[in-house]
Amino acid sequence: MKQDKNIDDFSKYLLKDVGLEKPSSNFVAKVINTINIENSKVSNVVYKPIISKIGWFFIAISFIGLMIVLYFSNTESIIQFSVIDLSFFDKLMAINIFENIKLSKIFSFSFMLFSLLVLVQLHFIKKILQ
Amino acid sequence: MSNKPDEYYINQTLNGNVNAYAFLIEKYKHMVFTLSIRIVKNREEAEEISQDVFVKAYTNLKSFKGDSKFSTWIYKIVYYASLDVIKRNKKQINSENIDEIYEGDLGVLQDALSYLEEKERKSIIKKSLLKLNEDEQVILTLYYFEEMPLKEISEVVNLSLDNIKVKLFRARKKLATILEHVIEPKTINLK
Repeated sequence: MKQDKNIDDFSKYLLKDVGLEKPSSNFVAKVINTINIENSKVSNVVYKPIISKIGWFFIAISFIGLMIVLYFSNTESIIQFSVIDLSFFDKLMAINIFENIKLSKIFSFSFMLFSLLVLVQLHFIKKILQ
Repeated sequence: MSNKPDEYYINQTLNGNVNAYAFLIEKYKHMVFTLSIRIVKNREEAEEISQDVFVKAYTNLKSFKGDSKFSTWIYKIVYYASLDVIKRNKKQINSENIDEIYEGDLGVLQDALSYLEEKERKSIIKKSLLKLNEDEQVILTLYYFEEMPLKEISEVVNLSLDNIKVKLFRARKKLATILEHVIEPKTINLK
C-alpha cells in the first residue's frame, strides 16, 4: 500500500517535472489564419438564382397581360392563322423515316432499363458531389 | 488572462467572434500538442495534427453539446486524430514490452534523478515516457499533469473506468522500471 502511494507520488513528480511540450510560437496565428481562409471560402460561394426577382416580375406581368388580352379579345383568333397555308406539314408528316427500323422487345426493354439506371446513377453522383 | 468559463468563449465563437476561439486555442494548445507528440513521437507531425484538431473543433463547434467539458472533447479529438496518423503511416509502435513489475527503491531512483542536470533529467524522463504505449502515455499525462478525474480520462480514451485504473497502475510501474534501466548505467558511470 505504501509502495503504491510512493509510486503515485513519484509518477506525479516525474510528469510535473517534465511539463508540457511547446508548439511553435505562431501556432495560434496559423490556426486562426486557416479558419479565416475556411470562412472566406464558405462566404464566397453565393448562389444566384437563374431568373432574378425582376425577371420573375416581368414574366408575371407579361403572363397576366396576355391573359387579360385573351379574355377581352374576340373569340376569333387575333392572329389570322388561316392566311398561312400549313398544308405542307401534312406531306412532311407522311414521310416516316423510321419505317424500316424494327426494334425487338428485348432491345426496347433493355434500353429503357439502361436509361432508368443512368437516371438513378445521376441522382447518386449528384449526392456524392454535394 | 480572463477567468471566464470556456462556455463563454464557445458562445462568442458561435456568434462569429474568431478572437474568442483564439483564447481557447491559447489555453489548450500545450496539452493538445503534448498529447499528440507523445502518440506520434514526431514534432512536425504533432504540430500539424494539433492545428488540424483546432480547425476541426472550430468547424464542429455547433455539435459540441456541452455534456462533457470542452477540454475532454478536444483531448478526445486529438487522441483519435493522432492514432489515425499512426495507422495511416503504419508506424511501428516502439513501446517496450515490460512484464517485470518494479519493486526497487523509489527513493534511490528519485535521488539519482535529482543529481542530474535539469535538462538531462527532463530528457531522460521524456525518452522513458515515449517507450510506453500511446494510451499509457495519454493516461499518465492527463492524470498526473492535468490532474483530470479518471472518469473524464475514460471518456477521452473510450475505455471503462476499471480498465483505466489497471492501465494507470501498470503504466506507472512500467515507467519506473524503464527509468531504472536508463539511470542505473549513468549513475555507475558517475562513480
